[in-house]
Amino acid sequence: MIDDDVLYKPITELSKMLRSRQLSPVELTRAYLSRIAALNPTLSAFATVTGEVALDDARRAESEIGAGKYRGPLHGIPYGAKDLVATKGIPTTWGARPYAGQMFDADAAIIRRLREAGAVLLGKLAMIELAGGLGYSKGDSSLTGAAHNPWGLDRWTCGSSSGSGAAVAAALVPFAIGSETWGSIICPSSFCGVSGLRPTFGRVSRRGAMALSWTLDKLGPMTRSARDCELVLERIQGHDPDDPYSADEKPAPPSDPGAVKSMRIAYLRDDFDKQGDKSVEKAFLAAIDDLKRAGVRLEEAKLPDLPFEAAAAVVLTAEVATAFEDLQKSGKARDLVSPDAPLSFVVARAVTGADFVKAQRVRTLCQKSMADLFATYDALLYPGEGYTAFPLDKDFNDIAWSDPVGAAGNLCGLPAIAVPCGFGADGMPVSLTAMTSAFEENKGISLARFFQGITSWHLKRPPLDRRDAPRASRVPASIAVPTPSS
Amino acid sequence: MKLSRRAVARAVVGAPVALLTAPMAGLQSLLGWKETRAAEAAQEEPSPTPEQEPQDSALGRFLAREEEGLTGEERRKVRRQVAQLEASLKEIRAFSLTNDVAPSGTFRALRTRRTHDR
Repeated sequence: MIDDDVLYKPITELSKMLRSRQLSPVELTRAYLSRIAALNPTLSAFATVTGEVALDDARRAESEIGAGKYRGPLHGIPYGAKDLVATKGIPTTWGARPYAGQMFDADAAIIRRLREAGAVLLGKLAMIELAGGLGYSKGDSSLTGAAHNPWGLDRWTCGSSSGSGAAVAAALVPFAIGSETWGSIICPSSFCGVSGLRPTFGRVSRRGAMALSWTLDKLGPMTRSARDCELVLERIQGHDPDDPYSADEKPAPPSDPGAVKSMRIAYLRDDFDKQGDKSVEKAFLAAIDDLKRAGVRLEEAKLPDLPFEAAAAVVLTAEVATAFEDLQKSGKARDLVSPDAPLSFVVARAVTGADFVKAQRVRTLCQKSMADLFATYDALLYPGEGYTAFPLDKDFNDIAWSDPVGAAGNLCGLPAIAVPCGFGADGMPVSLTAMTSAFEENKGISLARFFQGITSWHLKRPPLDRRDAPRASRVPASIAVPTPSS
Repeated sequence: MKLSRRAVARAVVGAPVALLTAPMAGLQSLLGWKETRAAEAAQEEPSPTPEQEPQDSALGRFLAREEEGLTGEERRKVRRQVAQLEASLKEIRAFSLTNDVAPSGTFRALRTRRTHDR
């Protein structure tokens, strides 16, 4: 019998137990499937659960490990993938009604790589329709409705990797694959209190993944620790000649938390007087103090004065309008949950060809400026989000939500890792995020691992299973989690 | 993408004016970026706060009028969203660049892949 404590363990520990045969991949997979069956009706984290496929993969892993054919730390580890990566024989809906029955005849490159690593696919994770590409202002803009935040069931998970954030936070999976165009890994990681890595643009192949913006989309892991992010990255990174934007770069070097004290690190302070939640600022500054007390050299810095958000908005608007023009032509954009989605094609006509090229030229300047900044600093720390998770019924149009750092990172293709660093006044998670230079994921991971070595925020568990949890956070007794059977 | 386009537009509109006016001497000398850009942009296009977000524009009215099949409410939304997007467009259009700054991304000639030599 596998209890919840095991399901909340990071990959680093699960893989040791699997390799030493203290734990069976089949039993572990069954235990996660049991937890998904119990909690998914409440959380709406999964779009599709692939129990039989998962058990077949798990049996194969068990047989191979038993025969001494160990493939590495993901061998026998279950996971979920955002429903925008193609999976052969399993629906890939892109979270959108017009694609509800969509099937592909080949796996996405990332699925193939994870299969080669021996990972066990538990299913496809819920997401905001079309990864939010045509605009949305409510958290329920998805084929599967709103995903609920395990830290507060009346709160949103953020998007568009909404199911990925909820599934990892609730221990429905040890890791998930998410995607980020602008904020979709960092924000759900922040709101759900998990560790999420946005790799450098081009680091992970997107072949077989839905295209929202060819020059902004990235795939990356969401996990229970920074070290787990690194373990997944090690297996999904690498050049793919069939992805025209794939980078032909060497793999990221291993992280080294011991090197953090010799790094030069800066932190950015959001102006919480203008927007954001003061309790988020308090948690962020406490994390900065923790790092300083531990001997890390930190100094305050400012983002270069460039129109990151404007350039990112223009590039994104133009690329999205062409990515989904089939929906516009067929009229099926009207079938999306967000009532404003069809209007985005009309709005995009305001962008001229010259505007797009100009934005791409501004982007060049932004890239050089950020590269210069990282010649001075090894990493930039900032709060992943200025807010904690919003109430599910909140209309985002009522929120002043500026994101210049996220815009800079995504516009310039830079990696970032978000890790939990405390809680806001409402008890919802807050994250510390480290952005680094392109292809230097190892520095951000080193810093995040160092932080997780001196704090225990990443070990906190949501109140889902606790009887003392606030009502809004607690799963009703009628669907309480059964003890997974063996 | 985590934000709606409207929210992105709102965020951009809400950029503090102070950020637009800070100098960047090092980058200017490196890339030929004109020093007057920020001050000009700030004078010509003062950044509205979220409370002052634009609701309408001539282009927005035109696009809303020309599109067939929209309801009155949808035409109003188009006008507002175009006006918000135009804040980003104005910022990009006002940004001065010298001729040596190429667009990001590299166009490459595509080599033919053959399964065998001829």
